[in-house]
Amino acid sequence: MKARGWLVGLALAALVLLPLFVQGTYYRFLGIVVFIYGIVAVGLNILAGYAGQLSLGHAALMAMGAYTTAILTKALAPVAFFAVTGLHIWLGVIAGTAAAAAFGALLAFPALRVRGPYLAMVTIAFGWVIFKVLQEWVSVTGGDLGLAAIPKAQIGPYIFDTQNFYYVVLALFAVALLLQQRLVGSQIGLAIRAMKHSEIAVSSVGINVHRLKVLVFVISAAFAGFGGTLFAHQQNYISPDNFQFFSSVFFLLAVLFGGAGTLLGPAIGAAVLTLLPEMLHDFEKFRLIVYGGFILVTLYFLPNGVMGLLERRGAAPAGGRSARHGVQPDFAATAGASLELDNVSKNFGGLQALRDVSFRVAPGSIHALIGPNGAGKTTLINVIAGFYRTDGGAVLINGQAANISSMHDAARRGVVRTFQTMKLFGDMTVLEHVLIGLACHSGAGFRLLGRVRAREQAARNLAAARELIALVGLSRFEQTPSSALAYGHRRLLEIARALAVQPKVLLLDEPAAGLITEEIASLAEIIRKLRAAGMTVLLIEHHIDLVVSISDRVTVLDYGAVIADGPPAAVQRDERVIAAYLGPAHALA
Amino acid sequence: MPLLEVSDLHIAYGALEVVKGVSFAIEPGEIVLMLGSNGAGKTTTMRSLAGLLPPARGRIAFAGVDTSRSPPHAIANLGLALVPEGRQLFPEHTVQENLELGAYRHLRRGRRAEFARSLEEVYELFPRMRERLGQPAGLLSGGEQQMVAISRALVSRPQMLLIDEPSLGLAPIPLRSIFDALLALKAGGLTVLIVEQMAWLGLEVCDRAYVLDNGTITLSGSAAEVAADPRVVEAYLGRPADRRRGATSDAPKQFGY
Repeated sequence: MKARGWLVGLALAALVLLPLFVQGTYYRFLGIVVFIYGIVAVGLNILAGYAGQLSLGHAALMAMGAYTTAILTKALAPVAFFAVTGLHIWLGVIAGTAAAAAFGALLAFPALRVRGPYLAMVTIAFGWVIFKVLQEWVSVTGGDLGLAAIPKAQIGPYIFDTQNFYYVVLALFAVALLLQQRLVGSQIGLAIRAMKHSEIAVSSVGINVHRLKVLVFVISAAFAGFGGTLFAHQQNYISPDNFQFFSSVFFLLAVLFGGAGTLLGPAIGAAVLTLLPEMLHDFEKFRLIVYGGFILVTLYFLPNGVMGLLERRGAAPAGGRSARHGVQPDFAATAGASLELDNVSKNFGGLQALRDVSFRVAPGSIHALIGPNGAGKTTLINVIAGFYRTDGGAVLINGQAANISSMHDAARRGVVRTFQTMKLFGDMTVLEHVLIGLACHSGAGFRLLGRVRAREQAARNLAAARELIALVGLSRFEQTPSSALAYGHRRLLEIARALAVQPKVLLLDEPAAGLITEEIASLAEIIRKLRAAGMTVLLIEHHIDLVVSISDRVTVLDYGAVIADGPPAAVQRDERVIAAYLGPAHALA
Repeated sequence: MPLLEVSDLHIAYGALEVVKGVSFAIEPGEIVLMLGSNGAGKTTTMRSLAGLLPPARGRIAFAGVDTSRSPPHAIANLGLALVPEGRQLFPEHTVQENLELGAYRHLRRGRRAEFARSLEEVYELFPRMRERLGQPAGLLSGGEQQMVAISRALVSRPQMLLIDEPSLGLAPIPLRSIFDALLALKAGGLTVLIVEQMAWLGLEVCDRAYVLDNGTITLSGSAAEVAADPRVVEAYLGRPADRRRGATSDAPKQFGY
């Protein structure tokens, strides 16, 4: 990391000094183009690389920026005040960036419903509509002829030509890279990266995924629009042809080529893809074939892009066995809430998954929910945690109707769950998973700049995350990507992430699946600690020994209905429970 | 001659070595259990045997053929079938389609009669498969899905099965039927390597067992020997009094947790 910092510094120094050694404006002009495209690519990288939202409409967002500033500055240029101060240029840059950001928010709405290739289609359509509007709305945009005589960038009486604008755009490009780094390293950056892997899990820790998505689109569009404004003031002439579909493809290609989801990827991609065609002039009419072939071959051998190869995860998972009988830290005191289900029903089409389910989970108790596979246990958790709406009945928390509207709403109100089919964040580390869980209450979510308080908060979060990871016994795996964890360890990570949200009611969906006896014993110890701290735990589990040894009360579901409810020993004796679920092996005589 | 022979197997993810020199052999008709805590390298070994993860070093020989560099489909075609961790069914396809994909190497050559015969064997093992044939696999209960996963491997008419964690997420009754099915397969003479966290169940069906710890084999022996080893009792079985072998005990149990 440190070495890379030096390399980036060296590269910047080289870019600053380069113009002193080359003659003419040609190379400076090329540099400006690379930097502008780089800024747009950085924006797309945040959206597509980090957040996993594919866009093929970024040229249109760039156009929004370019046209807004062009129209505005052309209108204001005759005013003497602006001609003297040059303020209209910078007003235009701000307005253009804002206009693109607004359209980014608009573009986010389809992304709330569709994803992957469908989202790409929507963004293509968006780009096409903008392109057509630019062509047809002649009175404002100049139609196919475009807008000419756009003022050059200017501060006071000083007007930037290509020679000097090079340095301005270089500085702005460096700022864009820095902003990207800050964003990705922040709490919100963690959430953005997590969203790429599981939106459901992100909302389960109390983050409003819809808002997050709109925010990412706005940020990304702002970068594109900002790049567009610089483009307008550099070229002094823009037309719809500058912002065609192929330009959008170019930006996506630059991101993929350089390495999607890497800090420097978009810079490298934009540089190589801009400069390469210039270097291929010798090939004349075969130029584009060579260009295309080069990209094809590179992506074949470097499927994760140039930086993907260089950044290949150095963080190796720790070796050795899991911490057995290690000292677990205690869990901070929690005010556990009571959870009550009052005649809860849920239907899927004709299938009645839950029928008038009623039972009460006392605050600060461990309550087990058992039943055959397909009895509706996970459906019930989904209802309690706000993933499904009930079709009848109510969920009460501390005696009040909860009316939970969404998963993040549930999490914020202290109802937090783990997932039977685990939903972890792919290549993100164990530590990062738990830090995301802490985002809900730490309030550091939307702070981008490194203020002192934010830094203190980050230090507190780090300490809290480490403690939770130690609690579940994964300390040796802090830097391990979740995808490299063994099955049972992933389950423990799900618990640590949920605990980070500071639940009042914790819903555990088969936490012991895939654990060996010894590991289940430590899990039992953890759950007992949570109860001792005051937390309410609802546990779905098939390891009957675990259920019986730690639960205060057990509810049994079969075909969506409660068939037994009582202390473990009584449930184990129940004939219906033995017939439907336990079988003779686990029956208590 | 052993059907599967593994010598000095090393498997790594990038720089991290997960399996560090494992050697074992499985004779035809044997059921062998592999025990180990999470992260010990069991699933990694299974994946490597099935060709999903090429080993860094060492030799895997199946039916006399060196398969350490073979792609997964070639290994499957040699008759080594994997029932993967978490079942990995094709959830939107019907049970029949899942099974047809399992029998792909036979159906591709037009051996429908063979497939029909395999189906009959599957019905014998899991009578419920017959009525579930037309349903999407993803809508079945956990136990039934595990039955489909095992059946899908069986209809390829393998010489040997690799079964990774068949008990995952199963309620007690379906869990019992899965292990009863494994006992039936054992009686039929099938060779099986099984990874199972519920050690008492695994030890009930297997002939021999290995304990994998931190990427190396630390214990091996007959099922009875391994079950009696104090380390195994401590880590995998809990106190002996806690465990029963399918029978109802009359005294209230003490629990190991």
